[in-house]
Amino acid sequence: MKISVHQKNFLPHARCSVDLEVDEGSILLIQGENGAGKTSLAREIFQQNQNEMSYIRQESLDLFYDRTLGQIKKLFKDSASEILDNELFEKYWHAFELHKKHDRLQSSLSGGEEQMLKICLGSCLKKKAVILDEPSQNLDSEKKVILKQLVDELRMTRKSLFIIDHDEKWISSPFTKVKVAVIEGELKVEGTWSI
Amino acid sequence: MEYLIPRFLCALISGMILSQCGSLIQMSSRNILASPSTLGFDGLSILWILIFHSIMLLFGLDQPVLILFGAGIPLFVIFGWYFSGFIRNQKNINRLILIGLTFNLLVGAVFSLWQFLFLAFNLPFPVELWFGHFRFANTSATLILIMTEVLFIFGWIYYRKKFISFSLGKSISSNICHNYSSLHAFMFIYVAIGTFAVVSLFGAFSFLGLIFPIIARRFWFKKADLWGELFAGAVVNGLFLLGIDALCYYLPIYGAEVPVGLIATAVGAVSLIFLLWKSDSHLEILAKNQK
Repeated sequence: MKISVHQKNFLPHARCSVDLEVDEGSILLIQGENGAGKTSLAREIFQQNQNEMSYIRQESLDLFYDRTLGQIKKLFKDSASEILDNELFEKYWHAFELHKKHDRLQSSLSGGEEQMLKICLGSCLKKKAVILDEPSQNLDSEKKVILKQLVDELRMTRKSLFIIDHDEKWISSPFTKVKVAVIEGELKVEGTWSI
Repeated sequence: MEYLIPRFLCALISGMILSQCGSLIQMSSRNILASPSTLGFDGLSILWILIFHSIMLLFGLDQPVLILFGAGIPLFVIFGWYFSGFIRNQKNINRLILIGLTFNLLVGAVFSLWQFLFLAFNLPFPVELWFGHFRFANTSATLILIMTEVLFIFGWIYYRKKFISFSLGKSISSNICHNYSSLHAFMFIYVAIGTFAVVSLFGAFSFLGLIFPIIARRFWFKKADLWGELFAGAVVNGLFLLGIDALCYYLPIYGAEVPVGLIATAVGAVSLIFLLWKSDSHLEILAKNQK
């Protein structure tokens, strides 16, 4: 999957000139300093390829209605039935122990619990690629192991994964790492390593 | 009874339409302070009726309900469609609400000035427009309201899945479906038509479009999904408006009927203050800006 983002306006402090390529079933880890524009880049990549990819955002879920997890699950499965990998979804819903919190309101979830909910809702759709923006944030070591298993399983289903994370220790699969940085007023890919 | 059946039917369906319009506008803007009245839909309807009334008077023409409604529909369809695109690009909805409220104040001032001039020249003026009532409800008005409600039901059936995913918030819904522009357009066209229908037929019922969805959400929504708020809640709100109208009809004060819009606005305003006061930490009250 080839991604090209060449735009002048989407970052306030820099123009963007980024070309990225990731094969089916591969992981591209995107790193960079705070404020370099990683999340803005991810948002732009998603906007340009919304049909083909899903995006697990870094920020909190923007639910207008404060629903319980049980209600969110029911409505999500109902509205996404045509593109949902139900088996994978149920597997990780249980692995993250979200089934034990069916009566909890979304507003009462901790940062880690909400992170697991976001991962479950965003990664189990039948799309070619997934962008995970800081997926390991707020997760304890036990849940990071489950996240690692999920990432491995997504690779097995030939999905391309774009992961933005400062911490790479939890990723056990081979990945290609790129570093993005603003150089002379332009957001560029600074280096590429295969690990 | 021949008079009361269309009158009470009109009160019921008007309450339902106001409740649904408020729900749609709050869901799409993700802000509980957004409503047909706070975003200026009420004010625009009143302004249009004043202009229409004056033009008809100028040319000495009669203005039956169907002509008033039919002439305004294309304008409000275009307005709803334009507004849906406009509001999607707005990052700060609170700014729009302030603009809408200011616009309503402006319409209020224009209304008073217009009224002063009409009375000065001894011309008939639709004074009752500011506080709605159902005294002149008839079969034509009932049919217009039923058709408006049927439009919403068709929209719900056609867009049901999109409605549900959209209500889950942008971060989830954008993964499920990439294009909500037609749903957005439907929502705002319906809000424009529904508000215009109620205001042009019976006058303004300020605050009801704001308070009804909150009441529906607080009391019935949690037990069901969107259907609870958009239909069951809307019916209960319609019955509430019908109840107030029945009280106004059966309990006249010195032979004069108090406009139901006056009572409903007062009850709505007090309820809103109470709800906002009690629910300061509730998520539905929060108005977050979208990224």
